[in-house]
Amino acid sequence: MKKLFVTGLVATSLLMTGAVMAAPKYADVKIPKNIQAIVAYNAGGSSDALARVMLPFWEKKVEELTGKKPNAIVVNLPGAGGEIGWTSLSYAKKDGSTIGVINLPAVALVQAARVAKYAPWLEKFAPIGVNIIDPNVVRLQKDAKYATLKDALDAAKAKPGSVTVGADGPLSDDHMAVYALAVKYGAEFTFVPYSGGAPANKAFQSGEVDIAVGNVFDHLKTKGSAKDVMVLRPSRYTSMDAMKGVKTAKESIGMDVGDLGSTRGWAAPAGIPAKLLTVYREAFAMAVNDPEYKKAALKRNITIVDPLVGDDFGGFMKDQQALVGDLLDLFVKGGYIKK
Amino acid sequence: MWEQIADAAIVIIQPGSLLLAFLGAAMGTVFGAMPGVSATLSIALLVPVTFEMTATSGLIFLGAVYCGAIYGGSISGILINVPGTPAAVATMIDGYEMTKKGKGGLALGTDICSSFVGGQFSVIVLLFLAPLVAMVALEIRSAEFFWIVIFAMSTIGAIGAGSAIKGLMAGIFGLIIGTAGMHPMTGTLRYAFDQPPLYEGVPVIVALVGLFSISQVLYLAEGKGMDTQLKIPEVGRMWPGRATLWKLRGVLARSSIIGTVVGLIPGAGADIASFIARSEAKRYSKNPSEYGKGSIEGVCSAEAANNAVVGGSLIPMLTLGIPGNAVTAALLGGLLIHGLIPGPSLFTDAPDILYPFILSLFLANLFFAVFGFGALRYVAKVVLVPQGIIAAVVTALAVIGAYSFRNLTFDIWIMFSLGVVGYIMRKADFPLAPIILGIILGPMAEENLDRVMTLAHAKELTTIEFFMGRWQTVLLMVLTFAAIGYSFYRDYRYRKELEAKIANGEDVGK
Repeated sequence: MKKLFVTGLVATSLLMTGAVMAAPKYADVKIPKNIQAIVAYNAGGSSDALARVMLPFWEKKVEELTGKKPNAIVVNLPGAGGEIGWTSLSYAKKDGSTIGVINLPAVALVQAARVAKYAPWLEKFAPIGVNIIDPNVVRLQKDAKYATLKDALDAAKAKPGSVTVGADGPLSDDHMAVYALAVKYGAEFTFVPYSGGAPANKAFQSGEVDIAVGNVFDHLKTKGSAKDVMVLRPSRYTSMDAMKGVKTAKESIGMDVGDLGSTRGWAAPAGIPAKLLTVYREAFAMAVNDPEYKKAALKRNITIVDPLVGDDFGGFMKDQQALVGDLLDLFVKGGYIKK
Repeated sequence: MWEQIADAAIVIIQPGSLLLAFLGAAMGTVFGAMPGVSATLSIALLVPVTFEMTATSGLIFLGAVYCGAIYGGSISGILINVPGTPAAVATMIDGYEMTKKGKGGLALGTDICSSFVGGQFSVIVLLFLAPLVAMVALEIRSAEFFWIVIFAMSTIGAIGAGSAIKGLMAGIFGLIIGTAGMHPMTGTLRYAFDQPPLYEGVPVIVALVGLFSISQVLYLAEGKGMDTQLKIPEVGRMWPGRATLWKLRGVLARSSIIGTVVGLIPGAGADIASFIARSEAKRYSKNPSEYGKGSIEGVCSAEAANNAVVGGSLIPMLTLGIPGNAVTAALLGGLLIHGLIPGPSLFTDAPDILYPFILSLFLANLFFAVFGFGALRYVAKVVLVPQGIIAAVVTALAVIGAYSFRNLTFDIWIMFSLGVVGYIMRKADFPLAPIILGIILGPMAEENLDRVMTLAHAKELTTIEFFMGRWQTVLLMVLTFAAIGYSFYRDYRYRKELEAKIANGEDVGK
């Protein structure tokens, strides 16, 4: 009876991923007993939270697929803007005993800024999947002399450098969003970096900068200080009720700027056995579609979206690399990257 | 705010929180009582213990260690005339005299009661003043922040009792170390020598462990060992009695206020507070001739003041992210590893962590008092632990601490190198605390100044014009220059007095 129930449960979750299979499907695949999950940031951060919330579900799904439950542990390797952790991941044994969280666009930006030991990252990391994107939100200070974001952008177009934009940075997803917006609109901002989201928000609230660019939670924290807000996505961000009323760039300034934000995806060192990678990907897809996981993630303020699995995530990685390439000139001109 | 306090009260009366506060207070007391293990070192060594805890638990534990260590330092001072921490030197003067007269119990009891009162007073001030300061600080912009940092730096010369020039030189050494790694505004690498572990600079916690622990270990290792004949004297009854305490009420109140205020000022710490409080108590005393010969007021004033520094010193650290002394710099490291960035937004972002932390300090003060009265007999034994054993234990904890911060062996080498440098500097009478402050404050000043320049450029103003544009900035500039001017004046006056004394043929000592 119990077995039947488990099988039923597995079947249901598999149905939700769009593939009907019998369990355990990959009984012949040898799964490492211990798997370490590298997080390139400190314990307690958002990447760490993702790993700790996700792994128990993923372990369970690997067990459903192969009949063996691995023991996955988080290893925090912070430092050098993530370079230390990602380098360890790229040089790890290719036997499936190591996976990790790769943060985009940070991985691509760090590689562009200096000779990262994990370069070229697109060839070093095998994509597993991603279902987190924390979209960029652009906010206009309530005391700024511009009535709307559109006015501010027009001013930055008419008189380059006259509008100040504060954000976490340099070389963060927010920094990249500032440049992407500037290029698309033909404007030029004075970019003012702050060492983290919290100091940038504080500066925005105090009225030090005209515009601030951050992520969803930065907006929710500073709602009272903004008079105009837009999210840099092709469509409104509806996963979270508080964000449903926020206009898209298209609605706000009449121009789509693309899908910008901070992404935390899972990857393995390139070259791990294909079968193992398949298992990891499928287990990821099952885990992120588990309603229990979604509940747990929302509780920890993890901004989830529809997942991209395997090669779909690989495509996304390539897009991010291309975007960094497009904006490289601006980073160089700003003095943030040396040619 | 009352709601947050009520919520926090529920958190801290959980058995887990109570246990952590008790363990922290007890370990702090024991560490502090060991000669050579200062409050800074205790926290630096125990920060790694909190890596696996939640932020709230970790802070409750570290806060309790801070309170306990400041109190514990006085135990060895009173019993064997060796201060456990620099903060206990002022206590020791009268405390040991009392022990010699057979009133050791009374000294220890007064010590506990005064520490308790001073500590609790300062936590009350912290609880109500910090949120106000944080609210004001939310309006602070980069220009003002830059001047606050400069103000904090200008007091560096005054840290410790030694020469101001050596203090400043140590501060500059800290500033130089602080420039390593990515430039805070542009990300350009400086002094990184192609070593990724150095890209984000020298981690404060690693530098702290190295400078304070390894230099101390080397210092202990060169010692000829402690006098093995040393015995713990019989202390007798400890409770000073209500009547005695009532008589000390004036001293307690004055010293608690002095300690809290001194704690608020960046650059001054528990050692300075206890000396100021003691000399103020002497000035107001009915029998000042008793001081130095076993005055109970001397013990009371110094201890109330050094424990009152705890709450005061946490205010600039929590609301502005500016540590005023080495102990709070160590605590700052403890906050950072839990992803908490001290600053005014901390009070709105993480009240669920901050308020339990502040309230837990009340418990910590209570627990070290209980622990002190209950277990002093046993704690007294640790003051006789041979220095070789202390050195070995500290080395082991230091290596674990430096490594576990980022799981990098590279950090162990940073720690050892800085430890050796710290040892050499100590031998040459350089204070170490300014180095840590330089490492922390340097990048802050640079980052904010750079930002001001960028903002000024966007508005087509010069940096000076930009500074003059807000009265808040101008006020802070005036205050900073006034503080620098005053310290020059004080230095000048002190030298004049010294010259006068020498001219009169008086002995001025070192």
